[in-house]
Amino acid sequence: MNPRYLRLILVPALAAIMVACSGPESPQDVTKAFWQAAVQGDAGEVAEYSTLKAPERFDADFARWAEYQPSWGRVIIDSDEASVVSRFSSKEHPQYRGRSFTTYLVQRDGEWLVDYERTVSSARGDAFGDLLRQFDQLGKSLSEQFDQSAEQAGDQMDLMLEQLGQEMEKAQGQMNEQATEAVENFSEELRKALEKMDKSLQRALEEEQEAPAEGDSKQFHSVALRNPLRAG
Amino acid sequence: MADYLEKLRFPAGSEGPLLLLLFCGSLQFLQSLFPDPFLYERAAIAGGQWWRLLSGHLVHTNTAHLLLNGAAVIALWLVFGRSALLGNRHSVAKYLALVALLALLISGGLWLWFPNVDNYYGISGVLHGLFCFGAISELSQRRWSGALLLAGCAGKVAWEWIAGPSAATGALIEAEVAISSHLLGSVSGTLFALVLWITRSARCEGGAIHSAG
Repeated sequence: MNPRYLRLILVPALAAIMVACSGPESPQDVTKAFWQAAVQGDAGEVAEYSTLKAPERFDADFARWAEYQPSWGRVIIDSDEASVVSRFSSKEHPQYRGRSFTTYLVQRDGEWLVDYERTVSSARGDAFGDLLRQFDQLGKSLSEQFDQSAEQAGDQMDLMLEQLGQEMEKAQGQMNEQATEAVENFSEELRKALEKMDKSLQRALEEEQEAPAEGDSKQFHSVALRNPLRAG
Repeated sequence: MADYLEKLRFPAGSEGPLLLLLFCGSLQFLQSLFPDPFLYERAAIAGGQWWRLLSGHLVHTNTAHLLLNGAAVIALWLVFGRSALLGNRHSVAKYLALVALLALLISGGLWLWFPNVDNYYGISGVLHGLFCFGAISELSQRRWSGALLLAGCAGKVAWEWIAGPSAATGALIEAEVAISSHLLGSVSGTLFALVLWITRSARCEGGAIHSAG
């Protein structure tokens, strides 16, 4: 075959292969790929294009955004950080104001990745919304951990109670006599201690009435200060 | 620790406020043993004890005061999280540096403009600064709730100057509430955030800007 014809075939073929094999490179391309995966609920792809470490932590709620039309605005690249103004508006009524937010990106090893946490925070709304969601997530996380711990503790407690019951049955006979004696001794000691405490309290009350009144709270501040304390 | 905080779904960089609370707690313990060397005390600073410009903000008058401000540190972090104005990298160091800068600016303001404040304890001035910084940071991300938060803070500080410091809080913390530190903190936080915002915007405009869409 004429090498000229061969070149005509090979060059477009190679170009096609290179385009097909290379992933999104620019911040805008990565943003598009990320949001496409997000609205499709593809956690694996989302993790691939973002800083999300674990795909299972992907918030599947974004799948509901599939009914909205994404559009992209100004792209700002600042060293190894970038941001893309993003907007999701209704497909049926694009004239209405949609949700506008910022997709944040960071460059790692020469590759742009969506900063998942900041972007999701920006996409979801303002600081109050973030706070409520964080409380909700924190509550869920603590609840899960508590459930796990409670289950383990419950199993251990059952085992301990069973062993304790067996031990107590063995010791019951011996303990009966010893317990009676111990209770009598303890009663006597307690009576003496109460008498002693009563005297001590009376003495303390008398001393307090005689002594000048002073603040009893622990002072953290310098007693050398003569002026009123000021704090904020 | 970062992994555990991430597991509990705390915002990234939560080590910053936790370290701040650790500093406050440690200094509070030391202050219970040695009450003199940490507070902002004008006469001692004039005598060359410069560390008080910073340490005065980390010690508190009593445990209630420490707990009150500690809760506010956590609440502010949960509301604002990692600030967009501080960027992504070294978020813990930047948070602590911001706290230190605000503390020094407030101390400088107290020294220059409020000579009647001869002693001062607590981190609430810095907290006002962090609040305003966070609100401006929200605005820089086009979240207009930031303006509302900023207006709320301005209203609160103005009310303190009109009506006087809260007597109930004063009774709880066993000291007069230093409203001058709240004012200085709010102004410092706002101005510093605006400077950062303008600087970042100018750098982005002057550097590599690509327009699309």
